[in-house]
Amino acid sequence: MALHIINHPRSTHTAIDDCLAIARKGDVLLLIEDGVLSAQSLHFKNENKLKVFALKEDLLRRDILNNINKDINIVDYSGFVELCVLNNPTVSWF
Amino acid sequence: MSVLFIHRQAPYNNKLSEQAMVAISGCALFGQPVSVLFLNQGVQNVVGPHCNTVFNNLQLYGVEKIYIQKTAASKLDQPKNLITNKLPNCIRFIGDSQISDVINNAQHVISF
Repeated sequence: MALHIINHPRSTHTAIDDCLAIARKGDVLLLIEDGVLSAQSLHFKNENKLKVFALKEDLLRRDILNNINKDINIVDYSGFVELCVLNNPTVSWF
Repeated sequence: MSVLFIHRQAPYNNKLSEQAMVAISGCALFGQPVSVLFLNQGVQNVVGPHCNTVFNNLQLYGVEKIYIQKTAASKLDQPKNLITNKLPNCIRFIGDSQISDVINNAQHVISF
């Protein structure tokens, strides 16, 4: 299954919407950098039933670790590497 | 090693569109099996008076398959230009569900 990496928020870029339009069930979505802003409960709807992860360090830097959608899993840098190893191909959406 | 390029940039937005075409042709030139998927705004690269030049260049460099997102193409102001042109055989219009298959079948995906 594909790993989709998003590093831009939904408010300024179409990356996450483009990704959600074509991703299929079982794919993994990882939010990093400003992409974690989409993890806030009001900003994200997972209609495709993807496995969604957000990078802990980037959530902490933006002070939203405790204010994200409950369906989103939190990973650290080790988890980031593990996701890259377990899933193929990796798609970085810019 | 199959490489899929996802092209989402409109030609007039920024330099990413141009850089994407350079990367695609460079990768194909070095003998990698390359496919290109034009998604969302990227579809605008393959419409208008220069579309045949784009297709010819991609084929010249050895790009094997060119996919165009059907929903994005239908939203264009001039979709007829794209559809009525005599398109090469390597071009396919595909729906969103087929796009995920194309991505999952590629060994490497590079997105612009």
